[in-house]
Amino acid sequence: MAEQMTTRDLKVSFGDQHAVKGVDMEIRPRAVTAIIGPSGCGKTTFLRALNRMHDHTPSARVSGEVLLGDRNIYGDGVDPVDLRIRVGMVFQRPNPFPTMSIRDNITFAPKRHGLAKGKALDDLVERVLHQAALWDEVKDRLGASAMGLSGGQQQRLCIARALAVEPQVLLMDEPASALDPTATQRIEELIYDLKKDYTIVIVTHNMQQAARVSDRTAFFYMGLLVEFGETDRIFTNPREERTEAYITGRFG
Amino acid sequence: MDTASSRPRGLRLRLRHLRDRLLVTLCLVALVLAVVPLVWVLWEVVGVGVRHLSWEFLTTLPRPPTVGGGGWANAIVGSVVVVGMAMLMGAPVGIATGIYMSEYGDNPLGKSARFLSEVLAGLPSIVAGIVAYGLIVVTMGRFSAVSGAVALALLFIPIVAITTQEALKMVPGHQREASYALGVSEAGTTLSVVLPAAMGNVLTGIMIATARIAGETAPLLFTAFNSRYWMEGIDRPTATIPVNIYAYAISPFEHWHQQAWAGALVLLAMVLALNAVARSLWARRARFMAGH
Repeated sequence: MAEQMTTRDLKVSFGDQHAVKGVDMEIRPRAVTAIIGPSGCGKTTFLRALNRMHDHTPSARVSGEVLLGDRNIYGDGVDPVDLRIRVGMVFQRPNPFPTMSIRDNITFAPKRHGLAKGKALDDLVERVLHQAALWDEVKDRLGASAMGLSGGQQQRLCIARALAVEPQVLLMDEPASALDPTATQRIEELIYDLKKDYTIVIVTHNMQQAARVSDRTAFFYMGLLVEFGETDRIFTNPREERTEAYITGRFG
Repeated sequence: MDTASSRPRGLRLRLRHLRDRLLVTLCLVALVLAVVPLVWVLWEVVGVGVRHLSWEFLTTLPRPPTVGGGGWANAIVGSVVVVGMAMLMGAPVGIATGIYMSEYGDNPLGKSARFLSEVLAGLPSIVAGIVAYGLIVVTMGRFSAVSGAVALALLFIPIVAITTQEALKMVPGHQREASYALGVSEAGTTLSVVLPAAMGNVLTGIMIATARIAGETAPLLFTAFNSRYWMEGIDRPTATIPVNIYAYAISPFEHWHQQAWAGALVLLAMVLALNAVARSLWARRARFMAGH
């Protein structure tokens, strides 16, 4: 189920501003890849290029290749709408649909895509809520508004919602930065569990978080991939001076 | 304390306070000037209207002024039908235009649509009447409820288009992104995520536009025209409350003047009632969206 993603000379620019300046990266399946770097280093821009979210920004230009498995997602004949069923995304701020119940938030996309209906849909709701470690807290109020949940619960609902379309890759853009420490811990535990089945890429500002949850870490600086390797090695024995300066808190 | 420097400073401070007070006072005066006529109009319409409102007025047809009595039942029905038809014609067009301008309008067509909507929203209402007269009354060869509805729809559409556009623009971008990220198309996102989230404000726009057209007289004068009888069909001349108010108010009969007041009250009550119904229908949804 989980697929590898590979970028080749990936560049993203907005007008004359170059946010990502040619990145080659291999993102392994069934592992967590963390992207760290100071604000404005292009890490979120890079992440959003992996499921073509930039298609909705008229000024954005993307060049290079992004392979999902062995297929270029920017190639001819790839429908970005189909692509996003396979490459899901969780955002910085929890963004459940306010007009929908907890259940409807989850069933919205699978119903549209014809993935399940009736009993199978109920099973799907229960399964993804279990996966997102939210089932016990919401099982008695699936019809209630998603906006009545706490921030941490909302974010887990968003993760459940993303899992409901059965993606191969899950992109997470600072998924815990708007949450308190307890909620953050739950999200991190969740990420750890999910990597058994998914390819996970997480952008984070929090270096302890990267060290805790990821198998491999990429350090971005000024639109370039400065260093990429096993997380343990990056944090204990960085090869690049800029990486060391960043993880020891000398800038950023 | 050094008096030489503190005195001018104290003076400046006092001046600043004074200016502050003056500004607040001016705003209050302006507020009163704006609110007093409004309250007075309501007071007068309700106070005088209630005295002449009766069951007969609401349920019977007009009678000749020399006979006395009679009512505006046909005009009440006529207004409901004409305004209702205008809403049925105008709401889909207005909402669709608003959706286009907000979600897909970042191009010359969208820009001209915005410009035209703003111009049309300020269209003198009698011009809308002339257009409907030329398009429909002349073609059909007679006055009709449907031509009145078209004239009102011309006024209704730009208001709904603009308010819908504003309502959709207020839906945060992260709601759209959440939907895109689930593999939902732009059209699906607009209809199933953005529009429902904006529905409260879209509804408010429709209510404002309805209130505006319900009281319009000029566009109906030579489209729906008037009638002393029950409506015989949407292709026939039809009495409406505003046109009746106009006709009765300029008549020389005291008894008719009183009926015009009662008619004004009925019109006001109808607009307020529609507003209240729409709001209470929406209130449950709004509470749900707030997490209750």
